[in-house]
Amino acid sequence: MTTANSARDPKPDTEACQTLTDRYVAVATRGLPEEQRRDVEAELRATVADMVEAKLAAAADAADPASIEDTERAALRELGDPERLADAYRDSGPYLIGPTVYRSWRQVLRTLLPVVPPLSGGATMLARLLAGDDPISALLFGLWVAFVVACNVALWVTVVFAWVERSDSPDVAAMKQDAGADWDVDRLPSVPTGGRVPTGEAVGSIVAALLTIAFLLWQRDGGPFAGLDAGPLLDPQVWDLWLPVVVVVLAAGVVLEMVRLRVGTQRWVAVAAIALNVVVAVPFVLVLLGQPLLNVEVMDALWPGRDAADGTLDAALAAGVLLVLGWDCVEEVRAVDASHRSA
Amino acid sequence: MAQRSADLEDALPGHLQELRRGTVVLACLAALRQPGYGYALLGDLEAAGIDVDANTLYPLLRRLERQGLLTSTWNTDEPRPRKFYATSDAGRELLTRLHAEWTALDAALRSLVEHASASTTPSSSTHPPRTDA
Repeated sequence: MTTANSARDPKPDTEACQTLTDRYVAVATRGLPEEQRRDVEAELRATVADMVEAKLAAAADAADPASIEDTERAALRELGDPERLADAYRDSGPYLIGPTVYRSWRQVLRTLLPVVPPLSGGATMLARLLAGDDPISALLFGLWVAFVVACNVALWVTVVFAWVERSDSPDVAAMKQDAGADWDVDRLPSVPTGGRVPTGEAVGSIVAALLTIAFLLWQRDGGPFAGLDAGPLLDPQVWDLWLPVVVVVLAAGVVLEMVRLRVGTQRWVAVAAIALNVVVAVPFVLVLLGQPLLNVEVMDALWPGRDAADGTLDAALAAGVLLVLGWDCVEEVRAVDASHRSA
Repeated sequence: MAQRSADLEDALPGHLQELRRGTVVLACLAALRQPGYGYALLGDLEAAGIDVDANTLYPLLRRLERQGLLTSTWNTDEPRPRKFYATSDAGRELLTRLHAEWTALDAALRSLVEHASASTTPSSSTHPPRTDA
């Protein structure tokens, strides 16, 4: 094969010298390796010249003298969109991520996005709270971090896959070929056995748990009554012990809700949720048995003339919390029952 | 009824394109047993009744060359250098196979179409109506 020596210099000196063909060929061969680009360019130029010649000959027969540029224009129009031609030469469509790697790309995003942004956001929020930020700004900052992390995960995963899509390396080609080849009946995913979990409910539980954690950490400085300077809102004797336990259990509850969104209503999820509720209930049962819930010093500062021995408010609050927990347990049992009946 | 024929007119070009797509390779391999360059091939195919866009043909020639089904040389004897393609031995082998496949398909479709048009009731005893169990 002799190398192409183009009839004309492919690089015109100024913009004014560029013919339509120059511009057309430049677009059509964009993105090709240099060696191949020159070859394709020479072939396309010869083709356009042939087409123009044929059209001029036909026009001469019809005694209708057409200008060379009009003829060139017509020939290029007949060749069609140079972008499409370039896509065809590159053997790739006008897409960022093609059908061969799309599923892997989606799989990676589906794995990373529900985990990495919430974890980084949650960790940031917790760190901010422990550093003494107020819960609203800590929450907002956590949400912002989660959003930024989500954008970055999506961007960089997409960049890598777009590169894989365009890579000529034989390894990548083999990987792309494998991606769809090793499918087997055994790989069919199991359908969640339980009924569908209402997403709103699960998200609501997660948000409620996060807000509760934020409140529990906030109240250590007095919460809304920080101005009284009377210490934590909840009685420190009881809650120095129970606070970490409750926070950890609530965090476990958040994870459990995420799992539930994935696997559907399952008996073991319900059992775990009930167990977590029981652990949270313990300190409140102790309150019903006579332990203090609220910090006496804060109460005294709020209501200077009150009877310090009166535990009615503590007991009422604890009973309220226990009612909510109990109701939640009943709901868990009902959900499992319902999904069994429908299955 | 008019609506239905309008839908048919909309769908027809797409189906025709699908049906013709693979035949262009067959046509190129057959035509290029006599070496030729892109523009001449375009004219030859058109004259033979194979409708193909230049947009499709040029990249296809490159792909077939990459697969070793065509060989190419630059002919610089004439004032305008042209890239000549010719069907390689592997290309001839593939042409034989593809043509055999085409013949088999033609026979299969012929028998299907003629059989269907011969029977008055399309869903007769051989195709009982489906019952959803």
